[in-house]
Amino acid sequence: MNRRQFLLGSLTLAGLGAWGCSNQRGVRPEPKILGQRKDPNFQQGHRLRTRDFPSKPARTESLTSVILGGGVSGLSAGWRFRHEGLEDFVLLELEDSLGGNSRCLEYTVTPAPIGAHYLPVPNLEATAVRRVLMEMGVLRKNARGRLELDGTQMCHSPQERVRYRGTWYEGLLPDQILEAEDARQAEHFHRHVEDWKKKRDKQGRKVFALPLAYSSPDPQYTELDRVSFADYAKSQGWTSPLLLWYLEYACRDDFGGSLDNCSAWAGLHYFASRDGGDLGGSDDILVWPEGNHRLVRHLHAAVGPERCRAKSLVLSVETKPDHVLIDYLDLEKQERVQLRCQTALYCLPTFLRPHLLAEKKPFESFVYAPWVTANLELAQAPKDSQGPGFIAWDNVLHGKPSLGYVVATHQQMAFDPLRPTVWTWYRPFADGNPVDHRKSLLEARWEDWAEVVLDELEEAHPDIRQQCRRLDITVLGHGMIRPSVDFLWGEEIRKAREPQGRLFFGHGDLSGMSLFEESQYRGVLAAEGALRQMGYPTTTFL
Amino acid sequence: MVSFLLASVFLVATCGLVYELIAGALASYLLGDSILQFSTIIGSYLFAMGVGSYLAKYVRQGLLTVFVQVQILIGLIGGCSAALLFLVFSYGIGFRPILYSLVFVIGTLVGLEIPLILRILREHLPFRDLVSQVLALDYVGALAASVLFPLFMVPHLGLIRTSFLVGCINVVVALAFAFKFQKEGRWHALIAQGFAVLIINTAGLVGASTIENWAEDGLYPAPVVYSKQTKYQRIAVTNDRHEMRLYLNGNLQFSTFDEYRYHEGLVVPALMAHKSPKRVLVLGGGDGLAVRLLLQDPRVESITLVELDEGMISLFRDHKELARLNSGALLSPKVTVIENDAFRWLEQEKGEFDLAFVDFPDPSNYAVGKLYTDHFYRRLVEHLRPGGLFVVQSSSPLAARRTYWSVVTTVESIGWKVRPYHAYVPSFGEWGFLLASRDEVTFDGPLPFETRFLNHGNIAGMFAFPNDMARLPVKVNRIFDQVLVRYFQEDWGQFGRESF
Repeated sequence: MNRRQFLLGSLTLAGLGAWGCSNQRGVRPEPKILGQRKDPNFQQGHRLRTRDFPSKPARTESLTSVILGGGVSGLSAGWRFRHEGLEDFVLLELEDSLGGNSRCLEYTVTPAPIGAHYLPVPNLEATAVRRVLMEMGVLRKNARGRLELDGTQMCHSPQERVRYRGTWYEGLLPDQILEAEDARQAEHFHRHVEDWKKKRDKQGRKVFALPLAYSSPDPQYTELDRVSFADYAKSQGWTSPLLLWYLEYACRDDFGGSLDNCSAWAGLHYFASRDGGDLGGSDDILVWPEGNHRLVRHLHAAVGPERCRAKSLVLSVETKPDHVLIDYLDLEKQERVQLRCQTALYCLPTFLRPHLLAEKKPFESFVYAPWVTANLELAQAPKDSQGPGFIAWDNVLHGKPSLGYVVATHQQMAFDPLRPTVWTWYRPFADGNPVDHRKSLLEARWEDWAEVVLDELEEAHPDIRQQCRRLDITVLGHGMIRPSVDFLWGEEIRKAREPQGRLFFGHGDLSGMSLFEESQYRGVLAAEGALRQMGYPTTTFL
Repeated sequence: MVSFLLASVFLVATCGLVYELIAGALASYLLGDSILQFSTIIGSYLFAMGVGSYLAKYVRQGLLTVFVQVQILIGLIGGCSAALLFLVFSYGIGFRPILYSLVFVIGTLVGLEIPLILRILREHLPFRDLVSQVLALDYVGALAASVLFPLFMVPHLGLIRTSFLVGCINVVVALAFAFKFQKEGRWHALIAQGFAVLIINTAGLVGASTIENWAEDGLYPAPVVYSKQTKYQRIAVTNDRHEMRLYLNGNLQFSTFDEYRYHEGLVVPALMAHKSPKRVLVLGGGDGLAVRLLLQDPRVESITLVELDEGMISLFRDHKELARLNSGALLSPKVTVIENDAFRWLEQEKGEFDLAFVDFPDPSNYAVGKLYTDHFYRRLVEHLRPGGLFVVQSSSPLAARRTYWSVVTTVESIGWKVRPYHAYVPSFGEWGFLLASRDEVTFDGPLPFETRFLNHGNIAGMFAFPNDMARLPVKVNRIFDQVLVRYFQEDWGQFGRESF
């Protein structure tokens, strides 16, 4: 920075300060924006560290099985149990409601997701996903006996747009913004991805499958997990800033990571694993106003709400030769309860294992990206440089730390450009030390984050503050498992998946990616393991 | 003194003629038929001037104050006349009575000027010079007005600003008189009035753009006589001597010159193919022009019109000049007008119809494109009785060939038989429609009403497509993959026309 820049900067700051003051004096009054933090129950969760709870259980129950954790993996495990006719089990969940990252918040005009918000059209190998969609009526056999998705639940056009240098473009890497060299590299990248999509190993397995457990374990491919996606990009000659932004966007979006800290295997998996099978294109996705809570609702109903115990803090898990003992704290009654069961499914994040099990090693290779999401309830769609017919479901602001926002009312059929709506805004912490981020996020106030969100959106939508009626902030400290370099195909994750006697592990982080397909896969796999051990003649759903 | 008075003659004469030209131009913009409008306006104006000249004899004293008073009144009424007339027209209330009343009042006031000036100057000039000089300057002023008005004022200022500007000139003349002859009478009240009117005119001059969006004028080939931003779109009506045109978001919807070709193309083949079209549904088409034709078929018992934009409905139902275009069709007891989104209405309502006409704007964006998806047509046919047919306006098979055939392919994808056809509409070019039915249909029925465009001979020709509009292999437009909007943008982009 030279002196002139410094002076200019100071002047600008002074100007902004003056403007800010005049603002506070009410020169430009703005409607008051309400809102609050909708965080997971950190306070109760942190009692595991302080051990601040009764030391002896008040009562004991006996059950066939217990599922720990009510996110997608736990619910999927319960769903699998019910399909086998198993009824004598309960599911324990710390939060008030089920769904984990796939929860939603209810607003006057629409529900809106706080986290997971879409499901790619399932590949052929995603058999369990297809089964759920069939049950929901989203996937059906048509008159000619062919499987067909309900098109109205697929993301309506336009799916995504990006705001680059003040102008919106359809897509994330639109041709219009690419210079000749960018376009050449982008073309090379797309061809490269197509090659990977078609690639099969000697046994005919996909190199990148989803669920990823079906991917080829051939070291020739899995060694890609030992280099960063950044290094891989360099080796391919991908240097275009626009292309690299696009690749990094994918890492931030799906992994809460960066090009530097995500593995090349994971990065390529993002682009090359989805092929839509026989149901659609690789970019086709299913979306609902409430996000993936639509799927959670189905699973929850299948499990049976009476089996789901929310506001239950799991305190300890003890495996015995012929049973498992689970202690949990009923947060409502502040009562410690012991469950004695034949098998238990651990569908909680792996990082909690040292607090709950006898394991003392800290699972250091499991890195979780913190996230902040915001739900903005808007009196009407804010001003936009594009006409009302062009707002996309996913709206990305190029070069910003956030991922942009998704529009909960996008799937409504009627054209009503000024209707009230709810946006969900996403911000992962892709770089730096997640522990430090978590610390500062815990200390941050609602006002600080509301201001960050509004400031960022204001550039694209100048009247966002006038339209915003409510702004809720959700901090997800351990929002997403990150497929760091040398993690997915490493030793620690492989060991973490192994059952310990009657205790089966089924959280999605054992796949190393925070995706519905993976969480469901892990939950169902754990459930089937337990069922087999208990003597059920199980045919796998996977 | 004399030259001051003579200069005033020149100025007020110019102003007087400009008001006349403004009224004439406005009437021909807004009502069409400029020969009739100009003749009647000029006639009324001249007659009113005669009345004014006659009335001048009743002014017995205080000639100067009366003259100044008249100038101020002209400045006020004339200055605001154009803005007032535009507002009256856009509210659709008795435009003609107000137009002619204004012309009469301004003409009368202007008619007072010359006799008064002659009498004021009488003391300063011999009668021979007086008459010659005053009348000569009066005619020179008229020449100045007739040159400045079309060459400078209208193109650079527009009618509303012109009228406020000329109003200012009248008031400035009045004030100059007032200050010059201050000693000779009670001037305070008049000076105050003068300033008040000057402020009104200046405010009008500055704020003219809020009364009418003049920037918009450049977008259209003819003057905009009505424009309105509704919740959904910008509606603009333009008018010149030959035709009135409706634009939505800058896209031409119809021209009165040839809309009958378009609307006969839309409704006639289906009316001929159906034996007994009793209940008819029209989606879109809030201008009521298709409804007007449908009402001419005596077999049609009821028509339901579903239009998204309340602004369109009120314009074509309640606005006198525009409702005339559809012969008041939207007020017919057979017609039920519903303000709703077509998709939402189809999902909410149960009614069944014999014929449905889908007359939406072209699929230039995804919001409209939704109304061209297979999902939409599936919803639509749930509302058709056995034997029911529907027609879709589907853009130009010549200029937007892939767009047109994609609409055809999309309707076919729901399992209905499609008869593609086209008609030549000069304002649009070759225009495409399709008729869809569950079973094969024929067009051997009688013409449903007295047509201006179609007859049995040329109807058969509509179903033949020349090579340059022939079918292309294109994709089905689906809600999650609206290929149609991309086709449309690329097709029209290639054709070199931004909007149509």
